Amino acid sequence: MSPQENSDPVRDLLRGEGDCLAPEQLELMLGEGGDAAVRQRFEDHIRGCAACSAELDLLRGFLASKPEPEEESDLAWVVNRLEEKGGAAERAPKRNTSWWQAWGSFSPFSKVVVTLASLLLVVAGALELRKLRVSSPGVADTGAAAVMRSAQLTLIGPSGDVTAIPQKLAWNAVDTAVRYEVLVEEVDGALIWKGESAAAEIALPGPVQSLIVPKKTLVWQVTAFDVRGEKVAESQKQRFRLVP
Amino acid sequence: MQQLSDEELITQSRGSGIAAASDPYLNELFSRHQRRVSLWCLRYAGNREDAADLAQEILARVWRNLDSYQGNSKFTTWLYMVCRNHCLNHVKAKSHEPDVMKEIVDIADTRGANTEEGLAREEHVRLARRWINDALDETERKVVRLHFGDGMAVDAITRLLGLKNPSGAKAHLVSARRKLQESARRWKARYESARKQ
Repeated sequence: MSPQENSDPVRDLLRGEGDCLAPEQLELMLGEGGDAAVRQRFEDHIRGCAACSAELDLLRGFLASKPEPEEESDLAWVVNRLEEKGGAAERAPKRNTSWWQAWGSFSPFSKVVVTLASLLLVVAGALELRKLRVSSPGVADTGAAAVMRSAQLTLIGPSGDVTAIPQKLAWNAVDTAVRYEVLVEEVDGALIWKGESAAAEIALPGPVQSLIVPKKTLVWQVTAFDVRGEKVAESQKQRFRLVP
Repeated sequence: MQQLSDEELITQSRGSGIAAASDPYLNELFSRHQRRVSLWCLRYAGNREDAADLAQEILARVWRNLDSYQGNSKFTTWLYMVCRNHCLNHVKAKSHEPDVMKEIVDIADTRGANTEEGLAREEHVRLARRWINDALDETERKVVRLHFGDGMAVDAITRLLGLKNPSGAKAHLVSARRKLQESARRWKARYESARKQ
């Protein structure tokens, strides 16, 4: 919010003639470059504007970021506290919760209800299946299931323990696929990288390779899509780990 | 990666497709400015516990809103605006308008005078601004603006402007208040005399 956006009468009286400076214009006044005439105009405004001159001082102090000796210990404490709270990971959106973790958060009553409902579904399904077999002897059910289920996609590598940082991920091509979506995750399901490829392999970008550190297990998975954008095949999740 | 500018880090991050939590570019960006934000918050809050809470909130806010950074200014300038606005909103409820400023605002508010005497309001406000500028020195104007205009605490102004005099911003505020009262008295007298003529 720039100072001129406020219609408070006190603020109005304490600003200069004309429009107050936007942040990028204030920034220009802290540097050396820029058009001389423009600088002069800004300087004239700042001279008569308490809002902009205060803003410029605050911005200058923020950019300089030089603690006084008496501020050092408190500053170190604050920075440590931030790092203790987890740094970037803490700022990021919450990771996906595993199903067993979610299960653990349910109340005992909910657990009982869900367990009973699951049992009922299993019983009902078994009865239905038995009825079908009785009414249609000799009819195989595998055909219908195959239509509904996407095919299995086979991953080539990396897999298991690897001795060098993999440069690429490779898998067996699927005939009808025109596009593959690749996910690289940590073992807890947190997404590290998502890439796309038209071929049956994809190069790992440098920043992703830098995350492949010894003894850290990563998981990858590939999904294939056809020309209509429909999923035609999906791989199992494959683990790999760099060993020193 | 340390050679990259802040803006380059953001560009690389946007093009990498790496999830935010693992993004090495963003991690570098945040570790680069964590101390800067912490120092600002420490000066603003005046104690390390509140400063840590404020800094955590600001960094989370920056993390969430990084997509809105358009590159019109340097990243540090944008970061400054986020810090400043977040801290000011934090204390907005505590701010109040002082009597002396109210008095000057009342005099400058010439809606009645506009119709009676044909004096343009803008002109009157401009005159009031000039009086304030003439009455106060540069530091007093800044302190008055930050305290009365933005509701910033006196101690925070002392620390953020780096004022080294013994009483800090408070001394400038007391002096400004005295000068403004005197200015308002003179102005009122002149205004009354103009109305009588």
